[in-house]
Amino acid sequence: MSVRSQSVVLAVLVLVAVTQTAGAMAPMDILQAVEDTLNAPADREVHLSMTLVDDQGDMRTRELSILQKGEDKRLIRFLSPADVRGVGFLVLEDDLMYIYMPAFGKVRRIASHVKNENFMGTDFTYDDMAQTDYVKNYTPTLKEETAGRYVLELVPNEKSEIDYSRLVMWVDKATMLPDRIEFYDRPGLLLKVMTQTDVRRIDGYLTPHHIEMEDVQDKHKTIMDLEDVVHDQSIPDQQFTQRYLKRF
Amino acid sequence: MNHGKTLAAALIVSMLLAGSAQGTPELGGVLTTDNRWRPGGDDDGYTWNEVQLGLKLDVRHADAMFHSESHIRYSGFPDVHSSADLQDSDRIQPWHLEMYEAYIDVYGLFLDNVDVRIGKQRVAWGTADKLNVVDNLNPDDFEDILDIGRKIPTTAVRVDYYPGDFTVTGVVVPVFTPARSPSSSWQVPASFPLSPELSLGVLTDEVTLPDSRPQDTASIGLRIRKELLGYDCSVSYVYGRDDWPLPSAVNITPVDTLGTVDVHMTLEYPRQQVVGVDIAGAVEDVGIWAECALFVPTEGTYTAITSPDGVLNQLALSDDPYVKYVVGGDYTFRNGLYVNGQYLHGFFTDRGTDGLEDYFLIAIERDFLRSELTVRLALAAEVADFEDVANYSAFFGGPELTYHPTNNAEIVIGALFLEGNSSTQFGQFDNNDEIYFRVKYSF
Repeated sequence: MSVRSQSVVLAVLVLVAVTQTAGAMAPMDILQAVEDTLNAPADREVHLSMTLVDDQGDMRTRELSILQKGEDKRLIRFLSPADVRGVGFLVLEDDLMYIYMPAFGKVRRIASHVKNENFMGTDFTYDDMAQTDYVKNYTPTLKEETAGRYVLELVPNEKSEIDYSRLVMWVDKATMLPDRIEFYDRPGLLLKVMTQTDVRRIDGYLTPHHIEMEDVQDKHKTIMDLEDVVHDQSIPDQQFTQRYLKRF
Repeated sequence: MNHGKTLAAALIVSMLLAGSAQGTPELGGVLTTDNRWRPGGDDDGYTWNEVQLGLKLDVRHADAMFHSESHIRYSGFPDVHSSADLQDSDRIQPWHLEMYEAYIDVYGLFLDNVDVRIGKQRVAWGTADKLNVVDNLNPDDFEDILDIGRKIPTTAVRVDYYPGDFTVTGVVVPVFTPARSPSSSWQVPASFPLSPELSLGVLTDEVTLPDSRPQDTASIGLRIRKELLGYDCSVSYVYGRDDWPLPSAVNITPVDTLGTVDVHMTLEYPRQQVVGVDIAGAVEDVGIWAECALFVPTEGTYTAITSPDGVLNQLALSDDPYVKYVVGGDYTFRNGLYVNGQYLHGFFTDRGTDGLEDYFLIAIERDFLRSELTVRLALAAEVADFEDVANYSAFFGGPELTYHPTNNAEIVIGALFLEGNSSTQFGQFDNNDEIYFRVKYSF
């Protein structure tokens, strides 16, 4: 199971209405504003469904719960289907990642080589799921500015272990949330497109409730629909430990 | 259905009712069909034809949880030996019920940072992939040779204490449980070396379990875990018993004047202590792990060989400590190819300073179709003597294809091939190549 989908969820979930005045914002300031918006809540809890749609239109659905605190602590739990029920991921800072599989009864550490793998067969990679630190990992340039949007091109920094050659991000000026991100592979071809819609204000934070990630090369799509989003519950740090990871 | 099975079925039903009455019961399970075919050798034909229904029940509360898993197993091979057996449905369609796990978790017992688990449970220690040399509280389960590393959950009390960044685990296993042996086709026929002028008549044995007093039958374990320098590190200690028996006595009885003798062996489970260390972490993006276990027999095991010539004490296992270890790593390449490699010194059944063999294992895996299809190739090499590898080595492994046609369904087809010298553990079974086909549905 990959952790990437989580970061996408995170990115989608956290929406603070940071009403930035457009004007002459520098690209890095725009990206910082996006990141601040994404990371605004102190913590969040969400249940979501992920529907995988292949090129024939066949669908498979997974249900998950995600607990997140700050930028570095996430606990993902699969609730269905039955064959993955109870499988959990604990993601901590510095790419520290653990998996709990009920069938084996123990927590196992996962090295960061899985970062670019698809998360449980979805179109999100582990890294996509965890990606909220755009400022740290990318250098932005402003490609275009319209009345309602900034269009940023993000090129991975040399030291960041990003598997994309670049991203193109459309940022809604009203919410400072990305509503479309294009992911380009290493050869420079368009690989995936993520869109975020159905933005609702939850606990004061604007939160997209419908996210789609489409792999245009494989003609495969993952649709994420969020339910039961709750922010700022003062989730204790101890919930993000191996002790709680295996408590299922 | 016999009374035992009726009682067991009633127990399951009552558990379900109890769960539904008190908490939020969650019932699930797995149906598995497992067919295997041995294409050659003395035992060619079907070797496995099982249907297994695993039922899981969880009842959760805020500060406690009940979990149980039971397996209803239909062997698929009639056990009919006489016409009378044809009236017995249990012989025509043999099945049995196994309680795999049944335990209660209590969270924050007495202290917020103390969790307790009581009941039949798996206590899984170690960081390696299935070949865990520090995992010695549950006995080995070799029933299925394709599932190496499987253990038998046993009744235990486990306490996890979380002071700061440490995890301290204490376990008491009140009653000893022996390891489960593989089927006869995966066992070396019992034998006993006799002098050339003697020939073996009948060989029998008996297994002596420890007395039921706690000091004889109980095992205890302690493990302390902490992250150090970016690595998950643990030290552990187990005071228990070897779960594979050693001969403690052999009686040789002449049965004729031609030199034929009957041999009767008595097998016991010697006491041992195990001090273990394990780590897991990463070097760059490569996952790595290592385990090392120092086995200390509490005393030498001698076999008292009684014959008409007198009694001779022969050393079966000295009290010299010996070390088993495993190191391994895994990595996923950019094209999605997953590679997992391990080196093991000392297999589960290896004993003593001179009895430890070496194993090199590698598995290569690749997902296709968004993980709907997985292709896996596993290979292993056993080396019993590095100074004469040609005559003391074996190779085994095979390909496996796993397909998930829908959510919850899994179809597996694969093969196991063995090749090697009869002087090695696996080489002596080089006629046991198998092709297997499994279907699994979770609900």
